[in-house]
Amino acid sequence: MKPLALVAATALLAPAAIAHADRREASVHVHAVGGPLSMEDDASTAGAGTGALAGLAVRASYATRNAWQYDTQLTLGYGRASFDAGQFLLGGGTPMTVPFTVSSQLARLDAGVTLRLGVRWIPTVRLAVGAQAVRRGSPVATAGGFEFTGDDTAPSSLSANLIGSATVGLDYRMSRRLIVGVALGATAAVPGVGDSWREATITVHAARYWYPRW
Amino acid sequence: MSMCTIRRNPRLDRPIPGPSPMEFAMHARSRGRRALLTLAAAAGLTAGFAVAAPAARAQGSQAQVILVDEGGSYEVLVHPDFVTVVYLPDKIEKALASDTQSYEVKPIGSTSLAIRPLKADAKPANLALSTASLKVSVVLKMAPTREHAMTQVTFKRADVEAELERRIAEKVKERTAALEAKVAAMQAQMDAELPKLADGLIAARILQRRELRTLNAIERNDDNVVVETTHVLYLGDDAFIVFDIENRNKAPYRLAKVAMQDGTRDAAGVVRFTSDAAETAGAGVIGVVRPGGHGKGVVVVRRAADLVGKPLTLVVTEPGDKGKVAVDRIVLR
Repeated sequence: MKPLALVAATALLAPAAIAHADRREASVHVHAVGGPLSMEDDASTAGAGTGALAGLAVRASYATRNAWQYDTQLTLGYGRASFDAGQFLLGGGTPMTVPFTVSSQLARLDAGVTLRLGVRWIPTVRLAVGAQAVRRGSPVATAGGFEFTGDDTAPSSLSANLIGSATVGLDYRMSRRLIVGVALGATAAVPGVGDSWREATITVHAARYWYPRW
Repeated sequence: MSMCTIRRNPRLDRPIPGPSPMEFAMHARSRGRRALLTLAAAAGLTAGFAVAAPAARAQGSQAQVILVDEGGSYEVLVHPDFVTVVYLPDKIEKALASDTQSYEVKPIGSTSLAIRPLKADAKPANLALSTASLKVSVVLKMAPTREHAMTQVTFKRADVEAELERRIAEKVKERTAALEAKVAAMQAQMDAELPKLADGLIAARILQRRELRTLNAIERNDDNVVVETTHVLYLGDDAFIVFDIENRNKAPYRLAKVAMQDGTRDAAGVVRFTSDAAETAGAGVIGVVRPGGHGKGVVVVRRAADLVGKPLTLVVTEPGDKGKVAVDRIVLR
C-alpha cells in the first residue's frame, strides 16, 4: 500500500475517541504552494508535458466537531510545462513538429473537509473538490535555435476544470491562536471535463485560529 | 486580689498550689455555657482548667483555700503590714498560739481569726486550731516581702469539697448532656427544615422567573484547555451559568478559581464543579479535569438583572493564577 493510501486509511479508521480537533474554531490560512506539474495540450503529439507550479492560497475553515474541519480554499498559481513535441505551422509554412512550452495561470476554488488527529501536533488529511480556471499562454516552440509564439504557434486560451485533491499534512499549534504546518498534496482534473491537469504540491502554511460568535 | 487553692499532698504533707475542683467547676460552668452549644463542650472544659491554674499562680497568691482531710500542718506567710484572716468550716473550739508576743490573734465571729505579726522580725510560730470537723496547725512565718503575704486563708474539708465537686461535675454532666441533646434536636430540626426552606425559595424564584437560555461563548488557553459556557438558567433574580471545561492538555487541570467579571468587579457567587477525574480536589482546588476529560460547572450570579446587556467574562484559573482561560463576550438577556 502506498504511503498516502496508508495514511488516508488510518485516518478514516481512527476511532472517534482519539480524534482531536478544535470544535467551534474558525481559521484563516495562508499557504505557499509549489511542486511538479503535469498537463496536456492540444498541440502536443507526445502526450502530457511536465513542469512546475508555484502559487499562493488562502483557506477559511470552521470545525463543527472535534474531528472534522470544513473549509474552502482559493488558490492562485503559475505553472509552466514543457512538451517533447507539438505540431505547429511556424511562420505560416508547412507543419513542423518541435518541442514547446506552455505557461499557465490558474485560479482554483475548492471546498474540502479536513480530518484532524491531534491537539498540539496535528496530523491532517484533507479531501477537496472544486473548479479551476486556467489561462494558457501561447505555446512557445523552439526550432532551429529560434523561439516562436503568438500567431506563429497558437493563441492563448482559457479553460476550466473540475478538480479533486487529497492532502496529508502535519500542523503544530504554537499558541491558542497560531498554527503552522506543512502538507503534501495531489490534485487532478476530473477526466472528461476540460484538459488534463495533474499536480503534486508541497505546502507550508500559517493559520490564525479563533472562536467566532454568530 | 487573686485566689488560689492549696491541696494537701498526702505523701509530702505539704500544700500543693493548683486549681480546686470548685474552680474547675466554676470555670466549667462559665465556659460550658458557650462550649456546650457545640459538641466539643467536654474538650472545652478540660482546656479551660489547664489554662486557669498557672494564671492564678503567676499573679501572686494573697488568698488561699486549703483542703484538709482531717488535720495537718500548713504554712502561712504573714507580714506586719497585713492582717491575715483565717476562715474555718465550722465553729472554732480551740485556738492556741505558740508566740502571743510576736503575733496578735483575734477571733472574728465564731469561724474565723485575724492574725497579724507584731514584729517585723518575728520568728516562726504556730497556731493550733480545732473545730468539730478538723484540727490544723497553722505555721506562721514572715513573708520575705509584702507581696508574698497571705491576707486570706480558708480551710475546707477535703471530703466535703470532693463531694461538692462530684455533685457539681454531675450537674455539669447532666447539663452538658441536656444541652447536647438540645443541640442535636435543633440540628435535626434544621436538617428537616432547611430543605423545605430551600424548596420554598426555589419555588418563589420559579414564580418570579424561570428561563433556560443557550450561551455560546468559548475560549481556550495555550495549554489546550477549552472552556465553554453552554447555558444560563435564570431563576428569580439570579442567573446560574453552566460551563464546560475540556482538558486537551496532557496534565490534569486543577480548577482553583472561577470569576465572572463585568469589567469592574467579580460577580461570581457560589461555584459547583464536577468531573470524571479520579483525582480528588485538594486544598484550594474546586475540581480536577483529567487529561482528555471533561468537567462541568455552575457559577451563580446574584442579582443578574443588574448585569443584563453587559459583556461578562468568565475567568477560570488553576492555583497560582496559572492555566488562565478567559471566556469573554458573555451577555445575559
